[in-house]
Amino acid sequence: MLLKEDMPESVLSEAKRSLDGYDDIRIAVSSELDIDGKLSESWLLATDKRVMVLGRNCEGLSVLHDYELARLKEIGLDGQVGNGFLAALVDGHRVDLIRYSNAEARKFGAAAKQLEALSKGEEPKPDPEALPKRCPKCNFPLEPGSNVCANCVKRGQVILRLLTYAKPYRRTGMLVMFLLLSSSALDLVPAYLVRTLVNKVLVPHNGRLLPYLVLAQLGAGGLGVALSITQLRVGAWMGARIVHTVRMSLCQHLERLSVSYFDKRQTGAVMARVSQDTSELQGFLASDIYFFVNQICKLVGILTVMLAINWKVGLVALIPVPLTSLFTTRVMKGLRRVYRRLWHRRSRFGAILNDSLSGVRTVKAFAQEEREADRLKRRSGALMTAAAEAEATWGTLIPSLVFVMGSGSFIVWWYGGLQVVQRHMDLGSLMSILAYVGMLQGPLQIVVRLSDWMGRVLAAAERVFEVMDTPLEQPDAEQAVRMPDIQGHVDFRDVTFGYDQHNAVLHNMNLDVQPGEMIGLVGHSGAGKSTTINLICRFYSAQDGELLIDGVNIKEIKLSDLRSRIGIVPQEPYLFVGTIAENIAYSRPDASIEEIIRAAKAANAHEFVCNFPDGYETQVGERGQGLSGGEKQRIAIARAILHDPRILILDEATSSIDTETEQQIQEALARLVKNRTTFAIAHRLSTLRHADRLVVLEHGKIAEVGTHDELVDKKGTYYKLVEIQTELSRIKAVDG
Amino acid sequence: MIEEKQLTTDEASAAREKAADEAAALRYLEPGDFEVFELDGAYRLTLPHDRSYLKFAAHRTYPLSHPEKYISLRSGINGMEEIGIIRDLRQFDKRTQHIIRQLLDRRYFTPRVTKIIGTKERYGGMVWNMETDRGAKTIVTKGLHEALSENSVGCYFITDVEGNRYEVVMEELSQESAAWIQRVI
Repeated sequence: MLLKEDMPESVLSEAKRSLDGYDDIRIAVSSELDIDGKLSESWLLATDKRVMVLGRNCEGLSVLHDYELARLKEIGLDGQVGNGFLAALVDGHRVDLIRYSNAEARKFGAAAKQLEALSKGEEPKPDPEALPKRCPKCNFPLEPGSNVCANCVKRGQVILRLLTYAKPYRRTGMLVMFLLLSSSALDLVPAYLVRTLVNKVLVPHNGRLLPYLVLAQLGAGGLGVALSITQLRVGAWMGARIVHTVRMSLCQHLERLSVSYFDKRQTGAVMARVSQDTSELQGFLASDIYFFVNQICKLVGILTVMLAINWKVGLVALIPVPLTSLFTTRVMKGLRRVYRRLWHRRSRFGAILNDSLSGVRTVKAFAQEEREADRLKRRSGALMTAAAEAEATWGTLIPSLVFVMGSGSFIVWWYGGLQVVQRHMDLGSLMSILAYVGMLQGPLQIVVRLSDWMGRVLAAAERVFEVMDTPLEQPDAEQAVRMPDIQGHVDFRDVTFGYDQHNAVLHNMNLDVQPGEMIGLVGHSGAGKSTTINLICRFYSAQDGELLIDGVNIKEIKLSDLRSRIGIVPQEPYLFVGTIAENIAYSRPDASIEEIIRAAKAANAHEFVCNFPDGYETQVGERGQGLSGGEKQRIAIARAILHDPRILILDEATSSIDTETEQQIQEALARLVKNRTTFAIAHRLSTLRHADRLVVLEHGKIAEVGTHDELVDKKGTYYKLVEIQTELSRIKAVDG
Repeated sequence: MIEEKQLTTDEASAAREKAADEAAALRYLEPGDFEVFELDGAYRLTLPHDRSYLKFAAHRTYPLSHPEKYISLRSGINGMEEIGIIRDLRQFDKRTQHIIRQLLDRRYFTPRVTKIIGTKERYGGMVWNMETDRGAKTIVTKGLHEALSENSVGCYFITDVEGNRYEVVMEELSQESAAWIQRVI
C-alpha cells in the first residue's frame, strides 16, 4: 500500500481534469504549506508515469508542476528549519516540488522514496507508519505506537483506573465503607433527637426524658467519632499502600523509558511528577476520598430525614441548592485553571532550582550567583503571583458560597415559622430541620470542593498516567530473540539516523566489525561518534538500514540480553549513592568480595581504594563527590571489568584526567579491551593508536577506515586531525 | 624555552599555525565583497577575484533576536563551510537583500503567532485556535510543561503534538490574545 491520503473532492476533480491516468493515482500526499511557506494546502500526486503538484490560490486549486516521472532525477528531501522541500532534478535543474512542515517530514520522506522508485520503474516499498495516526472519533493526533486517544478517554475511566490499584485491598475497602456509612448515620442522630427533646421535654416542661435524650445524643456522637477515627486510620493505611503501588509503577516505567524521553525533559519536571503528583494522589486516596464519601452520605441522609420530617419545609430549605450548584460549576472551571497554572509554575521553579543547584560549581566558578538568584527570583515571583491568585480565587469563592448556602436557614425560619404559627408543624420538627440545615452546609461545601479536589486529583492522575502510557520507545519486539551469548559481531548496513526524524546525523553508514576487534571512532564533534555508540547501545534505533549484532537485527534482540553484554566506560562516570563496592558491583550485585577486588585491581583502582579509611565500604555521595575524576573513572572501569561485556564502549574514557593517571587508566583499559569488541571514542588520538581499525567520521558519514599508520600515510582527514593535535600539544608544551 | 626556539625556527610549523589561524578567523562580508545571482532555481555566490560558489545557503546565527543580522552565508555539504558573515542585511543593495531574504524564508518556518482566538481544554491536551504570520491554524498541544517553552523573557515557543513550532512574543499580542497564554503559563 503506497502513500495515499484521502483526497477532497476539489483535488479529485482537478486531478481528473489534468492528470492522465487519474484512476491510477498511486501516491497522494498533502502538505499544509504552499511553496512560499504560507499555511495553505498543496498536494503531490503521482501515477506510474506522471507527477503533479496542486496548490491552492485565490481561485482555488491549480496545477503548479506537472512532469513525466522519467524526467525526474535525484528525488529527495531538503530539510530546513521547521520545514523542508521535496525536490528533484528536472532536466538537470533543481526544482522544489512541494514544501512541507516538520509534522509532515516523515510522510514526505516516504513519498520521496516511493517517487524515486516509481521514476526508475521499480515497485516502491510500502511504509505503513508514514502517515501520522489520528483518532478516528475526534481526529486528535495519537501518540506514536499507541492507539489510545487521550481525548476520548472518559474522566470516569481515570477514576476507575485509579481504583484498579485498590483491587488488592477489596476487603479493607469494604470495612472502610462500612465504617464510613455507620459513622455518617450516627452523625444524623443528635439532630433528630432535637425534635423529641423540644416536643417532649422543652415545650411541656417535663424533664423526665432529658437525661436519656442527652445521653443518647452523647452516645451517638461518641460512637460516631470512634468509628470515624478507626475508618480514617484504616483508610490512611490503605491509601498509602495504593499510592506506593502507583508510584512504583510510575518509577519502573520511567526507568524503562528510553534515553530520548529524558533528553527532551528537565529532570526537575520529571521529579515533580513522581513526588508532587503522587503526593496529591496520596492525599486523595488516603483521606480525602473517605471524607468526601462520608460527606456525600451525610448529605443524602440529611435530605432524606428533612423530607421525612416535613417535606414542604424540607424542600424550601433546598431552594438555594441549584443556585449553589450553578455557582460552583462556573467558578470551579476557573479554579481548576488557576491551580493548574500554579502547578505549572511550581514545576518550572523546581526545574530551575534543580538546574541551579546541580550546576552550583559552575555558577560559583564563574561568579554568577547573582544572575542565578535573579533567574530564581523571576520564577519565584511568577510562582508567587500564581499562588496568590489561586488563594485569592479560593478566598473569594468560599465566603460567597457560605453566604449563599446560609441563606437556606433564613428561608426555613420564615416558611417553617409560618408553619408552626399556623399549627401545621410542631416546634420540635422545625428545630430539628434547622439543625439539619446547619449540618447541610458542611456537606454542601464539600460537594463544592469535591469538584475542585477531583479536578486536582484527576489532573495529577492524568499526568501520572500520561507518563505511564508513554510507550517504551525501544520495546522488545513481540518475538524478541534471546541472545545470552553474544559474540560481538557488529554490522552497520546502510544505517541512517537522526535525533529528530527530520535531520539525519548518520547517513548510510556501513561498517562490519568482527568479534574482538577494537575500533577507534574519530572525527570532529558532531561528526556522529556518540550517535554511533547510542545506536549500538540501542538507546535509539536506526530510522533506515539495519544494525546487526551477530547477524541479528538489534531491534529484534531481547533488550536485557543485549545490554547485559554491553559495557560502557563513559566520559563522566556516574557513581550512585552507596559504597565503592556497590558501585563496582552495580551490574552484578551478586559478585563476591574477591571478584570485586580482582576487578578493582585490574582497573588500577585497588591501591587508592585501600588507602581510604573505609576501603571498599567508602560511601560515595551524589555524583560520586569526594573522588577525583581519575578515581571515578577507574571505578567505572572496574565496573565494566566485572560486568564482563562482549561489546565494550569507551566514550572519551580518558579525556578528563591528568597524564599520570591516564597511564594507569590506559593500562587498565588495555586489560579491559582484550578479546572484546571495542568501540572507543577519544579526543586524544594517541590513545587510539592501538586500535585494530580507526573509523574517521565526517558529517555523519564514514570518511576513512584503516590503521593509524595507514591513515597517516594516506594524508587525509585523519592525518589533518593528528597534525592539529600534535601542534596543540606542542603549544601546550611551550605554555606549560 | 628550548622548544619555543625550535618552533620559531620551524617554518613548516609556522605555516600550519597560520593555516589554523585562518581557519579560526571569522570573515565578515561587507557590501561589495560578494555578489549573488539566481540561476536555474539555484543561488550562486561569487567572491570577486577569488571564487564562485554554485550553491549557497543563508543561516541566521540569532534567528530570534536578530533575524536580519549576523547572517552566516554557507556552502558545502549541509552548509558546513562558512563563506562569511554579514553583519546587517540592510546594509546591502536591494537585489542582494531580496535573494538572501528568499533563502532565509526558504530555510525557516516558525510561524509567529499574531492572534490567539481561543483555547479549549480537551482531556489530555489543549486545542489552540490561532492566527500566525503564515496563516490561520488550529493546533493541539499536550503536556503544557513540555509544549510551552520560554525562550527569553516574554518569548515562548509552542510546540504542537506533531512537532511544529510556533513563536509567541507576548508584547506583540493584543491583551485578549496574551491573556490566553497568561492563563496557562
